[in-house]
Amino acid sequence: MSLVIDSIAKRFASYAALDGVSFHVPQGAFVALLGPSGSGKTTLLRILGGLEFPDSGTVRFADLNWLGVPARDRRAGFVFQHYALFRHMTVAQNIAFGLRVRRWHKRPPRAEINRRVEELLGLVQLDGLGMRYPSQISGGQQQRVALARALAIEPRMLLLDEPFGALDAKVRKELRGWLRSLHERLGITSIFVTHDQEEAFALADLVAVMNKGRIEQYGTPQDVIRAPRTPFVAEFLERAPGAAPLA
Amino acid sequence: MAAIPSTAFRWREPGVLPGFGLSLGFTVFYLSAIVLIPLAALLIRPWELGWVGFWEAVTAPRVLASLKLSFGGAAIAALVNAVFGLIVAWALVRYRFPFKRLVDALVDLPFALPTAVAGIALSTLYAPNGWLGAPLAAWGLKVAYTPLGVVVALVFIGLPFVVRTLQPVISELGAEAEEAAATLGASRAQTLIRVVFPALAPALLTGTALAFARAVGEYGSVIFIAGNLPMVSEIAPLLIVIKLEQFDYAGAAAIGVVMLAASFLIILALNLVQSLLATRR
Repeated sequence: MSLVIDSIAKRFASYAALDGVSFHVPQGAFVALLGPSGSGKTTLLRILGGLEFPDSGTVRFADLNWLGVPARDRRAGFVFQHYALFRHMTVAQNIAFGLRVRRWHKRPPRAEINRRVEELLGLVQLDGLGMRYPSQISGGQQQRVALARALAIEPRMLLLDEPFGALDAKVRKELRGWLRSLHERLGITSIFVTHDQEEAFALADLVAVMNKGRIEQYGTPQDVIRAPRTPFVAEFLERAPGAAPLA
Repeated sequence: MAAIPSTAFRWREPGVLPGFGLSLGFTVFYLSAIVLIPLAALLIRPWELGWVGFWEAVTAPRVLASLKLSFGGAAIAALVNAVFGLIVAWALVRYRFPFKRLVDALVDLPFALPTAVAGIALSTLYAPNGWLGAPLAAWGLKVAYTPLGVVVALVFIGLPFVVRTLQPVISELGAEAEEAAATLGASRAQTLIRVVFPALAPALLTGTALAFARAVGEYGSVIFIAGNLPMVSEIAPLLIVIKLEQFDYAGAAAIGVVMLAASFLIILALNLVQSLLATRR
């Protein structure tokens, strides 16, 4: 069930958001798309989630023509930068949403849905907050609700858009370690977008450094840090304030 | 020794925002001058008829028929506006099409147009020999000079209330919640019913209530298209004017009081539902 992205290109009116992007994600890997804003990383993530369509190129996942699968049938858990929680639903209703909208013959019975919601609340460490509304919990908690909601559909891959972007530094660090251990436990192929290289190197198995719609370098954090392959990567790594390279 | 009234009732919590006394005082004065005192005068007036006289004035068949038409017509018009206003607002926010700005400006016309002009235009259009009235008459559907004409006029003047209340809410809604629903496996219909509609419901209710309130009191545009047949197409505000012209001030005030009380109760109920919906987010 590896993910093969081949020559993806996408133009918006005046510029190329993605300009021939190809890479390969092994089953169960945790991959960071790292780059400055406007480098095309979010566009790529949205293409994988079925929210955007490329002009050319192919994506294969689990031997499927992934681009031919509609978003609702992909079972790609998507965590939005600003969470996009349903504000009129409680935390529990948010998490249950993906199960409740299933076609009737695939929909679990109510008791089973409730049990799954409780289980997921425990997994994201929000026990007892199921009856709250999103506006009644903190940003870090909302982030974890968004994650639990995405996990409820038993996703085949997990896509996270700047998952910690809107949180303060302390919460970000806590959640980061927690997300890494969660990934190790669940083993879902996961791709996340970030402009923070410290975050990318601390979390990911593989890092794709992006610039102007192209991949400048793709490899393990150690490789990227030890041997930046292009001047852009070298400069981007240097620019980082306080990022202590592992080397 | 000065007592410290620690738990005593206070008019307000101490805060840093200045001007509480001044602004509350002004608000009370202003509301009194503009709303409460004229309404109080209205409330006092009909009692010179006495209880029995008041009751007879407001339960006369002609008065009851006009009240039924005013409130019933306003309710139907508000519901029509709720459905089509939602669609118009949605299209204006979500889609790009030619002359969109122009269409957007057209929505405000019922606000700006003198109601008499609107009424004359509508009755010319829907009269049995009018552009729309003639084909409709061929179908056997009479609009002008019937209760249906009243509803048409009330739909016209109420539309902007629904559209203008919904537009900012729809544009604030953004596409993200809908995208999230799609990635979670929801169909388009499920997304609309479970995600979009509940998010719009409070604003839709407010807009509909405003359209209803405006329609109940509407006079100018209706009287031209209604035909004003007593017991059939005569609205309550017109009946008030007729009574005034006959120097039956108390009788006119009696109808006014009934309209005031009914409008107040309906709007209060709608506001309660609206705030119930809104506290959940």
